[in-house]
Amino acid sequence: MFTSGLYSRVEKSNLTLLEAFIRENGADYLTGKVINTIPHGGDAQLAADSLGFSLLTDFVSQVTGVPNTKITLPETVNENRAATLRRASLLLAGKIPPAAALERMETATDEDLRDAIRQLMNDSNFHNFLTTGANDQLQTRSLKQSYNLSFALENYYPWYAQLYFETPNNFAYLSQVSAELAEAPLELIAWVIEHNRPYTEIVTAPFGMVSKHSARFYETDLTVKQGEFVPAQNFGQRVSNTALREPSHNWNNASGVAYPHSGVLTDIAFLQQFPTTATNRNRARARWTYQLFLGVDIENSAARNIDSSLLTNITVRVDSQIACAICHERLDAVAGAFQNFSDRSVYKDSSYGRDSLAESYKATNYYRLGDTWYNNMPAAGLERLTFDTAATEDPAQQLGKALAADPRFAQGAVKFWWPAIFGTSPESAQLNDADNKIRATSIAAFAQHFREQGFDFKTLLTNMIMSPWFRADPEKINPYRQDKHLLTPEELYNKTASLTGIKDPRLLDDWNLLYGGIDSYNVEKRQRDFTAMMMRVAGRLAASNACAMVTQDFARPAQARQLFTDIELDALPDATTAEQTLQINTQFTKQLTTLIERFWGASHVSRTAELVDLFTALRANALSRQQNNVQDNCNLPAGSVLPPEAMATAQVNLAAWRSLLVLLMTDYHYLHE
Amino acid sequence: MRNISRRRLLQTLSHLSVPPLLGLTQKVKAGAPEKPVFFINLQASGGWDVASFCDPKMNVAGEKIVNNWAKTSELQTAGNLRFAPIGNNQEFFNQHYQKILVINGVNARTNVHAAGRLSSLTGSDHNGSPSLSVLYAAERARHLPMPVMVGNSFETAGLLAPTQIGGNIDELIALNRASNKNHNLLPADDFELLQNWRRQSAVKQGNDSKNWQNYLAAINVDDSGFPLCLHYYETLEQGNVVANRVHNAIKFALCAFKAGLGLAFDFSIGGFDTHDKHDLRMANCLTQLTDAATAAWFFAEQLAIQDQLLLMMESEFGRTPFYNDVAGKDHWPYSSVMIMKANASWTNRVIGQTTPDCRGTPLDPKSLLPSSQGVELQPKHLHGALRRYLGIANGAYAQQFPLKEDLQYNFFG
Repeated sequence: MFTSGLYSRVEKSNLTLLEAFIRENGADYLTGKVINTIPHGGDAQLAADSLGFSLLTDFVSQVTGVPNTKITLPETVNENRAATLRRASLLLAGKIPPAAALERMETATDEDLRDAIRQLMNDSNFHNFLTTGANDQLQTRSLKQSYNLSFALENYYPWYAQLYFETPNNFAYLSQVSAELAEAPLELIAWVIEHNRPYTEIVTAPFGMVSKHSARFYETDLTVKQGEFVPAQNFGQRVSNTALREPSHNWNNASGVAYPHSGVLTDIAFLQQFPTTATNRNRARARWTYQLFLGVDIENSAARNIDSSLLTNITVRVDSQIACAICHERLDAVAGAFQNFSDRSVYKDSSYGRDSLAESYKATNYYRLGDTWYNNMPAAGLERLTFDTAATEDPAQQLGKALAADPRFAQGAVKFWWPAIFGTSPESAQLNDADNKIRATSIAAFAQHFREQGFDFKTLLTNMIMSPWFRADPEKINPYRQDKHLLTPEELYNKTASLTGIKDPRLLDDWNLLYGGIDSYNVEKRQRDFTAMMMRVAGRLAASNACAMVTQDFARPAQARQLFTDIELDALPDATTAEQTLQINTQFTKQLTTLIERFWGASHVSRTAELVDLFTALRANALSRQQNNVQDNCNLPAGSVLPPEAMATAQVNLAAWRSLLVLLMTDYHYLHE
Repeated sequence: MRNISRRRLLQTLSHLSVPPLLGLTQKVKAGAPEKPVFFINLQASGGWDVASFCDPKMNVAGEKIVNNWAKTSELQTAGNLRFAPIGNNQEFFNQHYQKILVINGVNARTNVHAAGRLSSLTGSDHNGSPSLSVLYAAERARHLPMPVMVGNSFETAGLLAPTQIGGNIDELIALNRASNKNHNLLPADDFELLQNWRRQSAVKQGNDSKNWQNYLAAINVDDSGFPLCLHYYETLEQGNVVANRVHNAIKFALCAFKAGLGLAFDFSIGGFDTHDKHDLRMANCLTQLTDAATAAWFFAEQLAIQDQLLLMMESEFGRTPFYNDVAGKDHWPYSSVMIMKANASWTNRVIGQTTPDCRGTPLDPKSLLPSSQGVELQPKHLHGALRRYLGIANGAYAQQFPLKEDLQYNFFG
């Protein structure tokens, strides 16, 4: 069955045979033969508890996409349901749930919790979770700073060119268009999920997403408001009917194209994110297709430390004899599927709209008129599949279908969303083998269920949130969730807005990178570890907004308040001997407990006594400042109607509540959930 | 609640015992050199063409064209260094040759960006290894507010949390001053009370988890150097240095070094992946890179820390010694590393040789001359030597991430 030899061609051939054997005969057949639970006429080749057998079952699991049942996932203690709902709501809906909703969870079942999580996906903010999570992977928001598509749009989209040159401030127009196009692939993913379509449509959908400007220059006949996105086909691109490459030379001698949509794969913002060249030949697109949609990091899939004599003998076509070929044969075939999309991210951008081949290649002896792919590269395909480039369906569309049918697609989806949900990487070199196996087994289990449920993403998301990866109590030792999750800038912004009504845009703009965020242009990787600089950001945000939070909330009628639901601003604590030794009465204590529940979560109400002491100290500070006429820049709102004798008390309380909020918002349990 | 271990508690409390700002010299860990080395790594992201930079190549009759510039120009020299006459190279080498050590013929052993980037930053080909700057900061400066600063990419191996530089930092310096600087955000007594309260409360209720420890370190760190950092930043002469994202980040990092806030900085400058239109694009990129290095020295001199600065420039690999069909150059495993230090005995020097077609040669580990007794230099040899130079080779963290050097080289003797 197998052949021997040193080169990758042999390895690849043997690997292909083995994978085919496993797929045809099922996961248990090969493993059963190896440990002799299925007789094969000889002895067991590996012991069932050996490392070798463990590695083999992992490999079989990867090939079949079926979880490795030889690994038993450890049980663990989950946090209570209210805690899960609180965090899930912040994640998916961008808000801390009302106290009543959390109280209901005290008597709820797991099914009730599942339903509540599912309900969160109807919230309007769920959309932001989807597009932000998708961008963390696709990074197409880089377009907002790179403006990479300006040449393509000006020279292949006549309506864009006209609008661009007609607009007095055409850079502003380009900025708006770039921002819109950057969101399109993210919106497509969100649309598929929100419309309960099979998740596979993210790579097969026969349309893209358009908004105000793209609806016009894609010539969709649709009128779309700014900020809204709707599915549509791209009828706006032209190709040249002449020997001149760009149709902009003469729009009257250009033809429209039947743009071959295949979900995200053919979205121009996606294509520009992974630029190609005459020698790269779509390999970056292929590498990221593997990573993003099959969960396969092809650059890490084989030994990378290679003899330099091999590396210095390469040509554009990677020779199948050399070690590089073990990855490149897979990579280059997928690259071929993007053959009709040029380095400009344009469909068939060459003269006469024939192809997207590099002009330099066409000058070589390899080229034959009518070629659409490089003759010295593998044919377009996906591993064992070869695509029919003569078919009506574009190779990219065939790739989309092949990806959707690939057993690894479901795992790819789980890995794609893992960081957005759990705040960690699905694979980590910092983990030991045992932990990585638990992780891989969980991923395979999520994926299997995802497939069985017809790629219903909302069910997958619910399953992932109901799992110990999200719910395990970090206070109890477990292999899933050892830490609370440091909130991203977006999550911290949402949390603060939800609890206080104050939205401070600096966290998402000026301080986004400093707080670990990404801009997809200079920084693509989220910083998940808290730093002293982040503490400064959190402190600054709290200190500069706390006064407004207190005054605005107290200005509302008691029943409409978000924060101070249990007390009035001029309430006077019970005093025994003097203000310095005052005893906070039950009203104050109740208010402090409420604030803890809202800001930190119900499991921290035991710290109420600590906050009572702090409030007492802050109140004493405020009183001292008042007595010494020390200016405090947090004052009662103009027009506050209070009896004169209550004004002084209210001012002292206001100052104390203000500073107490700063502590609440800079505590570990506020910044982590 | 998992209890904080005694060891962790002691570590935490040690943060609180850091004395007020006395300058970094007094703050660094016992055993470190009296004047700590400030380390900057500038990565040429995408794969630089050293044949157009510090390992210049002329064309060989009858062979493929290595460099278009070599059709009409000769390679240039500055001191003992040779360089290609493109971009800003001449100005850069003439100004800095006395500070430069060039190590040529470094074999990345890969043509893959991710793999090359990993090994050039870390000296290792194992995923999860820390970059040299992170390792150095972890060994020497864990107690500082920003032990390692980064722009763009980073490899931390979980050793410490890097501070991403970018965005508006001004308001974060004087933390309690309102934006208009007319008043405090919180009354001073409350501000101080909250800081102390936060610290005491955190110690009481903490645990061993990584996030908790990061938080604990962040609230306990001695950050009294921030105002000084801002003062330096605002008062440094800009000279001919253009105020852009790269130069501003470098300037901030150097001010932070001087103010005792950090010890290392990693920054990558992109655009070096010149598969097409190589000549123009590479010249532009190299100009950005050398301008960044020049800016670093300009600011370091004003801050009087130039003798403490160690600046490295590297890339994930090199580029082919020939052009492709679209006037580009593709990936090539042989590359160079440039290390800059003022007033060092080992600079104004070139180590390592490459053939006319940019292939490395084995070097004797003692003489550093071509020899069949040696091996081709790899990133692990570079990083091994740098770890020893920085005094961290035997540190606890470095031991966690061995480099597996087959031979040890000393480029700094």
